[in-house]
Amino acid sequence: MSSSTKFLTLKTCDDKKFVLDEAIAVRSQTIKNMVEDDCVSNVIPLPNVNSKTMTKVIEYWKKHSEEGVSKDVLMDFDKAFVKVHHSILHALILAANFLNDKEILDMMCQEVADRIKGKTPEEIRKEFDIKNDFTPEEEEEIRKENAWAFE
Amino acid sequence: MNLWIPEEIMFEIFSWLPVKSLLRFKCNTKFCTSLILESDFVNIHTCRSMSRSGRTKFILREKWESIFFTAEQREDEKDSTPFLQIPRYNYLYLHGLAYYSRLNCVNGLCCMWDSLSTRHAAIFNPSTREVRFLPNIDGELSPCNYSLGFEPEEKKFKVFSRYKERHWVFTLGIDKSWRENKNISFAIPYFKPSVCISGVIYQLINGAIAAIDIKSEKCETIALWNSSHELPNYYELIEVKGKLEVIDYRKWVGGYLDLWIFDQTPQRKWERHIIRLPSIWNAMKPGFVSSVMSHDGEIVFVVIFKSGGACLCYDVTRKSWRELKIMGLPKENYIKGIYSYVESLVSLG
Repeated sequence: MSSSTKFLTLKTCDDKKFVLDEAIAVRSQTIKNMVEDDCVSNVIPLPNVNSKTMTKVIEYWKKHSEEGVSKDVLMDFDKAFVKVHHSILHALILAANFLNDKEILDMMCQEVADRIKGKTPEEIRKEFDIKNDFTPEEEEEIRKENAWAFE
Repeated sequence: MNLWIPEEIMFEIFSWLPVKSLLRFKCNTKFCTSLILESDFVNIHTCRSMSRSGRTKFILREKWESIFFTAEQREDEKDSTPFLQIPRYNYLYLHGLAYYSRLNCVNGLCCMWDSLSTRHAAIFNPSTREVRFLPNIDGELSPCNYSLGFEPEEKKFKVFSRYKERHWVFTLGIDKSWRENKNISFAIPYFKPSVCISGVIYQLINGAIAAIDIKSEKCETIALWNSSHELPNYYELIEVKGKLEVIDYRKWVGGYLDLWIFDQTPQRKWERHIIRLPSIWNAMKPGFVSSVMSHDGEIVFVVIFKSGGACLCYDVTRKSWRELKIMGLPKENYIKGIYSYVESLVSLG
């Protein structure tokens, strides 16, 4: 254990500042690389993350850094953590991707997958705002190949 | 809400989906169609299917030994009690595949054959429902046993087959016909499913275990802890956390099972572990036991008592037992065998 705790200041895109123990902040591989490369000045700007999302991320980091916290408690915490509106879920995924936090990214992607697994292709296109680039004939052909998957 | 999600994140999200959803989402966009064919995606998806709890899929074999059903673990909506559900329209049954008598599952693929008829053995992926029949050997020989193996370095599937003391090998997606393999010469006097661990197929033979290296197609013998040459009918091979283990059922009525763990180090030692049985089960002498490892760290046993079949699970880490009810089984029937597979998009090549 190091004797002195080092703090980092993170600044989100909406100009909010978060002061955080460096040992916790380096859960983000992006921040860790910055610290290791010594390119951290006083404030680390996070241009892709807003304060609302960052608050959630820090909540997760702190819980998972607590000493002596049991696996069961963490599992319950994670279960509750992912039960958010999907706009927050998507924002958290983008933030976790930018911060390069594999743990949060995997957990959030699993949650989205669980939410969309029963949906139709039309619903998925709407959900992710993706354009159908098939002709109706092409789409019909692909549907026929795996008709059972639509049952 | 519509939020633009970059393709690399779509890759991540899709890698957590069940195969059925992925096959349905294939017609979303051209990106989705090509994504699920990419080998990187298929590999990551398979790994993730293995790591998610409760995702182990099972194939069950009914009492007449000639019909198989797929099944998966579900939870009761009210009290979240887990059970095994057999879907109402079971495709194995519908495709006539069910009428084979022998099965071996490895890394998302299964090999099915009939030891009594000359029908071609079949390879299939129970998740994508892709089916392919293997060619016959030398025109008329009908092997009595097949083992499916997966070689993780080159990511190749190979099927090893035997007829008396002759052995053949067939690489999926490459070979057009069977190649005779003179490196292997053991005979298998009876049928017990082989297990495949890290590129090696293990098969019980008389008083020993044959280990076939899938890449080199060579075989060596591993001595058991005792040197008896009796037919170990009550032994079953299983993989627990990457290790080869042998379950010995002889002492069931005595209240425990022996689990022999094989130490892969040059000393090649067998270490004995005892699994205690809850007293409600050990009073009955099982007529038949089949077991398989789930990906949640449980050994799943199918046990036949006089009163009927039961599906019992043993958690290796917690050392605890539970019983799983099987739902959706036709009346007057019970399960006599259990196999597990990983949800995977892997194609038959």
